[in-house]
Amino acid sequence: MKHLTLRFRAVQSAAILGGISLLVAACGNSTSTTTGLAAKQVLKFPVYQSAGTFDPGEADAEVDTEITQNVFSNLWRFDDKLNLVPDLATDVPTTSNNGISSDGLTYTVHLKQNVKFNNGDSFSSKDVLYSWNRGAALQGAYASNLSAIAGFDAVQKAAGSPPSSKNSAGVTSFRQNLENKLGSNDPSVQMSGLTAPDANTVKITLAHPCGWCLTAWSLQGSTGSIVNQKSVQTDPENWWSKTVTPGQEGGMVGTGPFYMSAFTAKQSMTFKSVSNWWGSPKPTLTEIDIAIHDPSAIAGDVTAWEQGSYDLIGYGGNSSNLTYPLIQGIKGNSRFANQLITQPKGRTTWLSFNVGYPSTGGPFVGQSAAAKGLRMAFALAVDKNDLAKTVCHDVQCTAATGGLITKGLIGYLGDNADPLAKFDAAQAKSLLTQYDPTGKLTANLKYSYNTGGLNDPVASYLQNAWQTNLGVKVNLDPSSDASQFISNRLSGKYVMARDGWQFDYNHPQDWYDNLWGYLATNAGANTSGFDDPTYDSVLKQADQQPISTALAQYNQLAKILSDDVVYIPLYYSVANFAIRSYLKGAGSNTQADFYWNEISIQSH
Amino acid sequence: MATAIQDPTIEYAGGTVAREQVSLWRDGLRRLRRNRLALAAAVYLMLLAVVCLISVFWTPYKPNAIGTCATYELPSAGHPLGCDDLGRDSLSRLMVGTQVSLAVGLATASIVLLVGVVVGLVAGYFRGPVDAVLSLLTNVFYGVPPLLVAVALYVLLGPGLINIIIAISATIWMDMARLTRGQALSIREREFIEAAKAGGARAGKIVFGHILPNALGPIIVQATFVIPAAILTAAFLSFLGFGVPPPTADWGGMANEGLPSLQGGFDPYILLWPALTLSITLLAFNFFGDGLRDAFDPRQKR
Amino acid sequence: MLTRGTLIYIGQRLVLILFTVLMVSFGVFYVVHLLPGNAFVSDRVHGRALQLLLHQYGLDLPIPVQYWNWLKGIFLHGSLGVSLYIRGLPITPLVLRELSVSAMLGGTALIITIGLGVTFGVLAAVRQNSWVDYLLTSIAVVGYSVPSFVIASLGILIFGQWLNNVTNGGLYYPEPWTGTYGTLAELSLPAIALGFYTSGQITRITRAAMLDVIQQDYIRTARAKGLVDRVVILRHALRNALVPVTSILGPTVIGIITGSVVIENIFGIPGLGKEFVESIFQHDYNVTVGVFTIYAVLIGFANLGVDLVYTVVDPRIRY
Repeated sequence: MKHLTLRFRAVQSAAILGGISLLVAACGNSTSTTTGLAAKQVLKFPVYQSAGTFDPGEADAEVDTEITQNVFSNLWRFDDKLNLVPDLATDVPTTSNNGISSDGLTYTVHLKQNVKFNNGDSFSSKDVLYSWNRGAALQGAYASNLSAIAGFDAVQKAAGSPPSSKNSAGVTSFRQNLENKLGSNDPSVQMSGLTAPDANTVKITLAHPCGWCLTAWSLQGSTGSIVNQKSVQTDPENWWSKTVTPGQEGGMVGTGPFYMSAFTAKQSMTFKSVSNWWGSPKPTLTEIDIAIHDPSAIAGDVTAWEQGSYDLIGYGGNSSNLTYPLIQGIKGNSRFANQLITQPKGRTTWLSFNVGYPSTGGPFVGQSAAAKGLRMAFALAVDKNDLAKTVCHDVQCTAATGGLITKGLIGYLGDNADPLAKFDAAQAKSLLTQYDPTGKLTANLKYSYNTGGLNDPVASYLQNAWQTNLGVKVNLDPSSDASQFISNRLSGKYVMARDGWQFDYNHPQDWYDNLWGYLATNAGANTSGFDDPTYDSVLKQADQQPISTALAQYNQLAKILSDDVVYIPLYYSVANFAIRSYLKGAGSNTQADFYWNEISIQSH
Repeated sequence: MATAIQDPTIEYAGGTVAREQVSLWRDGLRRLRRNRLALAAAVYLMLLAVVCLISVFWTPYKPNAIGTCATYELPSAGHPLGCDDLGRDSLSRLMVGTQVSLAVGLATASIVLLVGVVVGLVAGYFRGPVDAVLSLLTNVFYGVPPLLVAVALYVLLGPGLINIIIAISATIWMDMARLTRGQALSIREREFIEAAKAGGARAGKIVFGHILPNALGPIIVQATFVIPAAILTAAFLSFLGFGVPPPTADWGGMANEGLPSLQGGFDPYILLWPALTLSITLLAFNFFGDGLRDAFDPRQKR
Repeated sequence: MLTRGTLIYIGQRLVLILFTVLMVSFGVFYVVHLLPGNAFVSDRVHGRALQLLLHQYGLDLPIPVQYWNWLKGIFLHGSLGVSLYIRGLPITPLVLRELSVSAMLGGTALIITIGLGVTFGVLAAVRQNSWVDYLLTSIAVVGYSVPSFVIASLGILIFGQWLNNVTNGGLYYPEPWTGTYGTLAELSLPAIALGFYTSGQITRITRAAMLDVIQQDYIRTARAKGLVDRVVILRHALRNALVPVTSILGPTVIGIITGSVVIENIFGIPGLGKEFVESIFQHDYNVTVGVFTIYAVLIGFANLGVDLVYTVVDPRIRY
């Protein structure tokens, strides 16, 4: 399934990795000088989700971006410790280096000059304009990362409305038209705030100050990534699924250290290193062989991994997670126990109450004392630590006690800082008797969730907890089809629902804006119906300030949400990787798996 | 799946002889009693029904209660079949799972009996448009795998026990209709029907008073094969993730939940118990059905 | 054998197959488009952006129009359309590749089915009422009673876990499908699990038919003429006993297709069956309809083939 959780994807920025340590690549140093390299530098691993699209303008799935981060470059990127570092740009703009104007509205970006695309083209400011304008016009999942740039709305409007004619326009003509417009520099698809004073400089003017934009633009494999116009034009519809021949037009051409040399949908992909690549560290691996498998094949894959057919298991985020029995199996094998790597992920799962849809919601709707009290009763009735122990066996997740934002990220409130994370069965029961003495209000409640992964055991656990601690029977409403689940949530057709978020970039805005903010409300994506003017105004202010001053305001938002009891925090995800010890530089951080050009295979 | 009901050895396209009722039944029961395998199967099925009844009122532990024991606990004195991935007692869940399986089997058989027999009788006796539509539908449905149709229907109807029953019934009622139609077609040409007609009997009386009783033997035998076929299809569905919503225990779903632990070589029991129980139950239904057929259809005697 | 009557019969059957395929494809097309949800919606893609995507892929048109477009794609371009999950990727090559995977699995299972079934059936009939007969008929009942996923699971448990050192993990499916399996071992467990179920029915029918034939006069005559038993059985009895066996090849093919849906999902084999379940979850409409259509065509031709084989096995049958 593409969407195992509602939201996922990549992470960013400076963060201290909490908890368990992992294999960290020697960043910045070329690994090719390391002694003891194996003769064959071919990395092999399976992923468990087929590519949806590699097109950075539309990509939506973690596994896709963790592959294309090695093919496309952004102006900046995140190193393995989530620090923002220059990629295609020469430096990270700040007010002190004059990259950002004092009013925070203008960014001046200087580009590296030795950069080449796989097809031989030199990279210049034109490519940034093309890629970003295209990203805005395509209106993909992450188009909003560019939304603060002046002229963004106009481009979306010009490119975006579905034509009124009921003739099947078809995918070809839509994309072809867009490419034609972009090719002819049609002003309707050019963001006015994006200009190129010269070939190596890009000037970005914002509609309003933005404290989070730089991190959002650096999100790998996404709208901030640079694509090659000529190659896209050879096949606007399907260019991303076509292989690349170095020096030639066409296919998934980027500026990254690897290019795709073979692609068979739902079967396999091969990537090869770019010879004489412009950046550093230079790739040591010559080839990456990726098998696309069904999740049910993972047990066999672990066996194959033990026998050496694969070098690592777990690449590609949530969809590649090892199951608990497999983890125990590896732990129990003395040869491999030390090659199991545990990494907390920036992904939180919680329960959302329907607080804003009176016609479809239940007794939890609204701000009345009864609604709030009942929400609190249901929150206090769940023992989050026991849930992590029972459902995750304390291996696949940890209890979410420090707020919605996971440990290690900017905006984490601190262990046990979230009042909703408490477990107090007596208090819960007394709240229930106070606000629902007859049991009428809490009869026939439903908990909706999409099936797969930990969602099913969590649902059973919650049901059991409410039954035991409140004496309330809650019916389960599973959707084996995530899109149906999301559609219902978007239209408010639920009472309580599984909810979650995997951060894209390390900034509280990514959480508070997308989940309960005015942006989400305006876009019709505020699934809980939470709408609070104070929240919105604080959020607006916070979003326009640098994170140093904005953090206190974001923390204020966390307090508003917990005071209102709009959610029940459940758990933070932990990923487990099986990585053979001869792999140097492989691993993962809270956001994403490490870049391939940092990985090498030691002789073994 | 090629269900047992598609097995041509139990199709009765040719005419059966109208036999004398009393001796037929007595004769059949006597033969059934002599068939030890079928008898053992009947005893097992009765036990299963008893377990099913008991499980409505009592199980060793609450079947959905989490934490009655450690997760993945292996079989022990306190939990003879061990516990599942959430620490629920496997024996209790296995017992409760009987309810879903029997409900699906019996309800589907009832629906198939009712719809299939009526449609079959009408099509066979009156011919005409009903017959034409029936043979058209049969042709189309025989062109697609029934499980896949059931999956599509299930997804369309949404999760739930009733929807599973509807989805399965919709895919297998035509076999019963076809069988009954064949019976009706041949019986309507017999002399005693002529006689009844000449005696001024109304069509309804002829169909339900004369044709149905004479076609009953094969119909009942067929119905006993519908039960395991329905249970099997339901198990397939829930094994693929199209089952009753959790936490309700059903054997196919339990097996599905147990597959990851089996694959890790970690705890085979979670899968083993429902899989074995399901297999034995299906086996029993098939043995019993075979016994019935041998007993009531002399043509098929060994 | 290809008389005019046979040709007319084949023609009629082809029309019926076409009709069935059209009915099935339209029915499935309609149903999958009716399901709530779609391939694109996420909490980042909704509202106008979603509408735009739906429009790009023609999903905002009335369903009959969409179906007509789909039909046109098939008849004019031989294309089953594009995938919605893998945005815009033509699915015909994908589905055909998966068909080849399923065909290899299903073909092996069919060989096991018929081989085992006929052998067991003949043995049981020849040694009627002996322990061999009882053993084999019991195996047959077990075969069609025990669900294929149970057999598959037990197989994994025994060969994949307990005997893992012997099989060296070879029973799993570790490599991407490239047209052939790495080893016969990898193919055998899924194929046996798949074929065991249907072989039970073949055993029963072969046995019953053999018994029928053996008791007929011409076999007695052949025996009386002094022909050796083995010759009699193989030449005369088996040939005639194969007629009813042939008659259930259609349901057998359906059984194997259905079983493959489950087996492919257990073993993670990238065939049509796995694709079918996946595509329903993913709302990849064209794939679901395409898989269903391929199955309908396959079954139609299997049934036609069976009827034609009839004329070879039993020369008395003419169309």
